[in-house]
Amino acid sequence: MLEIRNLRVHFYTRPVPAVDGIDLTVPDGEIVGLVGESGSGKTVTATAAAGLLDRGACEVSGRILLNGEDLLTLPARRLTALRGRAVGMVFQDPAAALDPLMRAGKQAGEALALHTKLPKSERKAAVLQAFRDVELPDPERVYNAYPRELSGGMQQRVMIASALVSSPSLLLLDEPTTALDVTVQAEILALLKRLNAEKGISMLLISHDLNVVRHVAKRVAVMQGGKLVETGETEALFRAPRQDYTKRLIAAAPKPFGGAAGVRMRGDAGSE
Amino acid sequence: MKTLLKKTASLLLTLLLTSFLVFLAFELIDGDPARTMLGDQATEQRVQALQAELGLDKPFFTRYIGWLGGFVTGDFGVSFSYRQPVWEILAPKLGPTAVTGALAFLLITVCGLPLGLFSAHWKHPAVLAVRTFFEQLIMAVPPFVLGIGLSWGFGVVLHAFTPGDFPALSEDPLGAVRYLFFAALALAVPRIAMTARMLRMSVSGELGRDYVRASMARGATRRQALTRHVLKNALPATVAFLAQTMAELVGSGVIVEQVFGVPGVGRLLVASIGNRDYPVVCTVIVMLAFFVLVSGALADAVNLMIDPGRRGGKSHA
Ligand SMILES: Nc1ncnc2c1ncn2[C@@H]1O[C@H](COP(=O)(O)OP(=O)(O)OP(=O)(O)O)[C@@H](O)[C@H]1O
Ligand SMILES: [Mg+2]
Repeated sequence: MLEIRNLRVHFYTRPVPAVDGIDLTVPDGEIVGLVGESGSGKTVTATAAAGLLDRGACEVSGRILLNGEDLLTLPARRLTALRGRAVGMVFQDPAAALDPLMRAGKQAGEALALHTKLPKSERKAAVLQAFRDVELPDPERVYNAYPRELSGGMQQRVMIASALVSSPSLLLLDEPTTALDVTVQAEILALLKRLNAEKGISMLLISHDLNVVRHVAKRVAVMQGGKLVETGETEALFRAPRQDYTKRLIAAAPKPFGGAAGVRMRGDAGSE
Repeated sequence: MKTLLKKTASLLLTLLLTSFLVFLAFELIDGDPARTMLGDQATEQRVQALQAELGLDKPFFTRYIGWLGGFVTGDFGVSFSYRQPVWEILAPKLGPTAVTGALAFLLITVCGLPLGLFSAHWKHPAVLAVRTFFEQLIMAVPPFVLGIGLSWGFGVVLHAFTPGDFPALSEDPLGAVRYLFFAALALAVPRIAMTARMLRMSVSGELGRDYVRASMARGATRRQALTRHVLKNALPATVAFLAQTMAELVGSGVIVEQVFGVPGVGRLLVASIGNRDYPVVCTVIVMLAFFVLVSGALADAVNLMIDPGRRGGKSHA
């Protein structure tokens, strides 16, 4: 379970805090959505929850409790160990998140290489199993492929697999489908839903697109300017948004009619 | 295989063009070898006789083809001013030049690369300011000024070597290498700064990329991400840079040999241009061009080994 309590992140180079006192809980086995416009602080929140903030570049206060342990006060060694085991993170642009010069299989097994004493053959077996879990076709071939030899969707599946190998209890997904085209987007979202249902992994699903979150997350938090402006059950929030900002986010998105396959919105083009 | 053939063909073509241009340059600049050798006092008759002896009375293309035909069969011709086969004059000069170049290159890699890595990590503002100051200072000083400074400092003040008194490489190899070390230092110092700067920028750039964050999210420390991912990715740019450095050493080597009185290829080249001794000049230039081209090709080959799929320069993602 992830509990963020009154988290505030202030980069020394910026006049205002990037994250300004947010409270957010991801209960065990649940998918929670985090939506907001570009620059609202979503990535910074996820980075903090992954224990990846560059502490020399910002002032941080509050608490980030992962299964009861506060990531912000944990000694560096414990934190690195935790990163490779308890939390996994998936990034927006899979092509950039993969080292272009390392084979996909080796990268996917990196957490095991760093944090276990498993022999290479067992690490490979674990990676191949993770590849099957994320429905990669021809896992052997993917294992030996370089990232550029894979499609965007396959790259993102490799990233998800690289997080899954160490059986984390929490996945942080920072706009995992934004860089992908519509059909692949829907496939990845379906995959995440299945992993959540079958393995009980809890997830923080970040998006600037409410419709991406709508069919996957049970609860959703809406972020603006570093603050949470609204939190609630996803369906309730869609039916009766309380904040104007949320209304605008909903209005900005085209009405979904094809279920999860209809996810795509104007905002996609403009961000990052 | 096909690319190898293509590369070799383009290399040969470049060398051919180089030699032709050097030949042409001598045709265009003032000064006739025979007249230069005999001095102003010589009679027209003697000049013409010498021209005939050297083959200078033949038309330009005949001479070029003749020279080229000799060159490709390993006969580099006879020097006008020394009246000796070019190879016999050139051979003893190769040692000092090669040793100087190799020492300089060694210094550049051994000092420049660790300095660059180190400064990619070291981000204190005061250190940053000092580093920028020294980088700019070192890079702004022309090699010959630095050479004169070093030669004066180590030679005249510290007596670490005697400028102008170069011990023969075959008789006193240690003394010779010691002498050449200071010439190499003059050659290396500005490039150490450039190499360190280049590596620092390319490593810092790579450190900011998503794959570093992703690796750290899998539990790598910053240091581990650096050794596991960043170094390899920063390598192609570094290798290309070092190859370019190797090529540039050829040019600055000529100047530094002049300043330190190293009897090497560079000094031979300068003297031979003055003497209009184009069999020597052409041979030396084609040789140096060959070296430059080969170091470039070598860099390409190394990068192809690092990245078999060749992502092509820095165009990833
Ligand atoms: N390392 C950093 N140093 C300084 N400022 C930063 C840093 N990272 C993020 N910021 C700033 O913090 C704010 C929030 O950024 P963040 O990346 O979290 O937004 P986001 O909600 O993820 O937006 P997007 O949808 O564009 O990804 C922005 O104003 C950004 O410029
Ligand atoms: Mg973001």
